Amino acid sequence: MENKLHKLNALKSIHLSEEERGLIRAHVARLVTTPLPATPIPSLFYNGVQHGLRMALSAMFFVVFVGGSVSAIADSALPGDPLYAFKLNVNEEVKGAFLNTPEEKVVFQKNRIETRVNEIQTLAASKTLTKAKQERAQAAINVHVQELSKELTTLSDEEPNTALTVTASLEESLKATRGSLEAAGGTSPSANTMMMAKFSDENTPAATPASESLNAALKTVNDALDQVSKEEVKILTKEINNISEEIKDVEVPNDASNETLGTTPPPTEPLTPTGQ
Amino acid sequence: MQDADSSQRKTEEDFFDMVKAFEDAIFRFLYFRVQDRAVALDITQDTFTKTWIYLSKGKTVDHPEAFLYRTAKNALIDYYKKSKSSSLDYLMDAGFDPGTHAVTDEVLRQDDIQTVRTLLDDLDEESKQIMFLRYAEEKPIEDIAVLYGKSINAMTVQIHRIVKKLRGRYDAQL
Repeated sequence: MENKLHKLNALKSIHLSEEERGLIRAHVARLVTTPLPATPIPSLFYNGVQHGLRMALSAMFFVVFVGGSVSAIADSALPGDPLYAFKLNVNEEVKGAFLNTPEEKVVFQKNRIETRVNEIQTLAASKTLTKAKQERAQAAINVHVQELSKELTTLSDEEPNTALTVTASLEESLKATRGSLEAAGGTSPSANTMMMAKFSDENTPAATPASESLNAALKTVNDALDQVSKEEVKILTKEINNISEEIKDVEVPNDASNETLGTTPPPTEPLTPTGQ
Repeated sequence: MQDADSSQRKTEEDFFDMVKAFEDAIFRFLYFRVQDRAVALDITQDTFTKTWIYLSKGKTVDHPEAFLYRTAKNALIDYYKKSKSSSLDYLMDAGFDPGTHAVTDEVLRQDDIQTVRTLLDDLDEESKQIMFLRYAEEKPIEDIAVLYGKSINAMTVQIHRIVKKLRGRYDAQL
């Protein structure tokens, strides 16, 4: 095969003809003597803008991609997970920032409290609820209740019925959770407090028996329930005070009060001169 | 100003020297690939045009032969992308007849050359070029390695594999 390949060197006998050589030389001479058309050089500013735009776009896509991925993963995080803080402080706060009306905000805070309680319930069910995780969720619930209270104050002025409906709904939801936790083996609040005292500071699930997990969850739910009930009472008290104020403000005319009592004034007889 | 003029003249002289030294080799390289003298001539002109554009920007070429083969490879790729070159039309309109070089082309019609060319037809473009440079132009492996940006060992192995593949095909035909 090599011999046959070496026969390719016969191709060396191929040369340009004089006519072809002349064409090439003429072409080359024309190239050298004719000035080349000037190619426009993009300005430094244009290049800078192009470069800047490319960098900005790349950075934006990167941030959107990474942020979106982290956000999606964080949505399913539970107390104690590395992304739980991201879920609370970024995911939920961003969602909350797009709400406008007090009613939407109240419903949003209610949903957040229910979500926290569900997280506690999930951890308790999987027997991985530690004191640290319970405290983390409890702290979040406290913050949510404070925000809910603030929003309820606004909402109860404008739409007290809606405010009461939301708190009642939340209360029902918390009671249902408490019921299911108790059914699963959680103890009463008084016993619960004693059990909580036994919690060790260790975060290892092995150090937390199943019943303690349930009790911790129950404590969180009870605390949330207490706070929500207090809010409900506050709204009711405020509403009653408003009604009382309205009643006071109503001026009752004397005649009208008499009519209310069912008494009619004695008919006044026309004065007639005596002895006529 | 005089320095600029003398530098320009030097560039032009270098370019003319390159053309004179390698025009036949570049033409053969391209003719072997496209098997059409007029097309090969047209791509040869393109190769020199690109080289001049490069040099006229004030850039220098350390290895003129390697640079020209590389430019010819790129011009060949451009040719394959275009179905027909407009400058070829110009040449033919000007009276150039690619069919008047039957005597020279007789070399390509020799039986041995035809056999090898048939075997080479199934290879990829780079392998065909490497075979041409190694066996038709009888270039040292070192030069071919420089041309394709590979180490001498890698090029030796590549040539060995191509020859082995050709041998297999040749034996299969017998």
